[in-house]
Amino acid sequence: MKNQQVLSLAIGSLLALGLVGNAAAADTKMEKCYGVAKAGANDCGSKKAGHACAGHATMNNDKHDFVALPKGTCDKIAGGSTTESDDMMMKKGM
Amino acid sequence: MYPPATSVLPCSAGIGLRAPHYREVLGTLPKLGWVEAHSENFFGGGAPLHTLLAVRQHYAVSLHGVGMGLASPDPLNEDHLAALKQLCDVVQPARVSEHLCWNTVNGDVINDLLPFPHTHAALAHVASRIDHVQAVLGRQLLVENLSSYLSFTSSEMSEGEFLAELVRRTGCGILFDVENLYVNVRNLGVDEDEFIRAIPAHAVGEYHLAGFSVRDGCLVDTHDHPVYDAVWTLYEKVLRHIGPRPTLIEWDGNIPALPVLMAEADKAQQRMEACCVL
Amino acid sequence: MYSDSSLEPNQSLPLQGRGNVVVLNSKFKMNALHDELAEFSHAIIKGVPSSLGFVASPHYSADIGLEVYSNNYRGNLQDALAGAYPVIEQLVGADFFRQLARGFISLHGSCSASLFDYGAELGDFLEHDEPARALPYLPDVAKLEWACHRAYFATDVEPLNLARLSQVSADEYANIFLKVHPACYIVRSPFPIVALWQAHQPQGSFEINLASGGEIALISRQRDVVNVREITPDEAYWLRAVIHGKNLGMATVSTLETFPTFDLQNTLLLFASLGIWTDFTLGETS
Repeated sequence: MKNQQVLSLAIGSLLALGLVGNAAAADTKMEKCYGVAKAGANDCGSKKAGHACAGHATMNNDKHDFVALPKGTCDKIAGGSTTESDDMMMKKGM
Repeated sequence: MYPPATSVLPCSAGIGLRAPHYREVLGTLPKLGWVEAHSENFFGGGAPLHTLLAVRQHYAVSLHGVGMGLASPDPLNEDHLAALKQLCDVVQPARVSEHLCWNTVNGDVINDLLPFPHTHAALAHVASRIDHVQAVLGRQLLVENLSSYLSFTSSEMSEGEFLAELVRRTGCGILFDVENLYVNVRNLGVDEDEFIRAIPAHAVGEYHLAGFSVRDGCLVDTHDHPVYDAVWTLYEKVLRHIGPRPTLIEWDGNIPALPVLMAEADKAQQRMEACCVL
Repeated sequence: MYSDSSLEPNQSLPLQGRGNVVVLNSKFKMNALHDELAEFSHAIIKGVPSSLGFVASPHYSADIGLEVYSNNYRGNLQDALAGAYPVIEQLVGADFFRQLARGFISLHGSCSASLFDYGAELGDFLEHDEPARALPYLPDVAKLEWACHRAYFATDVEPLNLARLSQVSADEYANIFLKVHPACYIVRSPFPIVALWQAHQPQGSFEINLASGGEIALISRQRDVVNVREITPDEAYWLRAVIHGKNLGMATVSTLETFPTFDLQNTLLLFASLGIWTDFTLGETS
């Protein structure tokens, strides 16, 4: 049966190459890796109190003070937004 | 009763180990008395756990939990406890500590260290949970006094009395955070001498020191400054009454270069040694 | 109501603490504790000044203390989101991200004591957030980032034991159920999400054409390193079949029906090289 042959070939090569995910065996043409030292999120300091968001207006209340527009690397992506914000980006001279 | 630890913290000054310093610490192996890490940041596997295990090969480690919520009204989260147990099994820390606080009610979690009324009912509740945590971990837990921005008018005893009674009922130890006491003195009018007197010296296994911020007259426990002189003075008083213990410099915001942290630890070390000489 | 506690006789501290009477007694008192803390947490979560009669400071108004707790609550969640979604934050900028985070936090409270568990729903949230809809690829990039975040913290699992696999006779190969590493995720999108994500990694390139079509991202972890790569539709189809409990025979037959040129050998080796296989069992697909 053809399927049987396909399976035999595939598993046979897996066994022959001894591949189980050693870093050295990874194929080289990929790959951007992900941060090796992500900061710990769980702290016991009240770390926010010193930040801007600990100002006098509580964060909840200044929700409607302004509406920010996306203004980051999205500007670098061609055709990266739908019409409404395309217009805005055009005005900014994108 | 549980043995205090499988390995011991040296009676010297250590630092809170945070991500920005992993590489430097592992690369240069600086002279640190010991290090403390926040338990929850190492639940699971992968890079965080492997880094901590590498650190553990060179330094005594204290695991400091921020999420158990010993005083939460909701049932204790057994998955959380199991994750801590698993972490302790692989890391074999010298000490395991949690805060005297709560974080969960009706399933809502507030990822912070929240105060509660020090009532007799709360005491029975927290004591039974500490019993359970110690039974599952098979070891003594150190319980840390909290820094608070409000106090509950329904409290029936002081935090010092509450901690002392927990020690008597459960055999837990105390992590005495000197800066937290100072914050409570200033924010809530806590009597520092009453607190120090209430704490059974034999139960104190560790001290913490840190810097705070001030906002609208409220001292906020931000761990983002050097230890202030007033806190050093209080630490010296605590050393005289209770004696030297492993002491940690905690720094969690605007984390400085490693030598700055180590210099802070040196200051604690000098005060400990001066206290021993006296 | 918390006033219950004042109705209770003031119990003396029983040493044993666990007799029935005491439990009953402390149940009433526990209700008092519960009610006060529930009201306290409501004030923190809502972030509005409230007249809680049971908390105080001798040196400032209770509102100031509450505001510190409230800001800390929101600030911690906002930092957790920024930690889990660094690419989204870069794409939209810090101000817009902060606004997004506020909207998200007001809808999604935390339900875990570890902040690494917070923020799973941001991708779905972005699909419905009006200002964010200008950037239609955001939800899928967020889903990719969440997969990376979870992969980073996934439990360690031993890789597949090849010696054990070599004991299986060839006529049993079709009955092998492969187990997949807990750090393995597939995210499918009509946008080039892998290219978008990789642009934000060190030495990334922003030469991205959004019209180039969709991509399927495979997220996996080898030792400490999370990998993100594009896989083809047939590879994804087959891997999904395996993840969903088909044995090798069934997964391969069904994939070949849809994708006649599917190459099992290369696919199996590719996934092995990424450390995806951890174990296997033998049996028929039910």
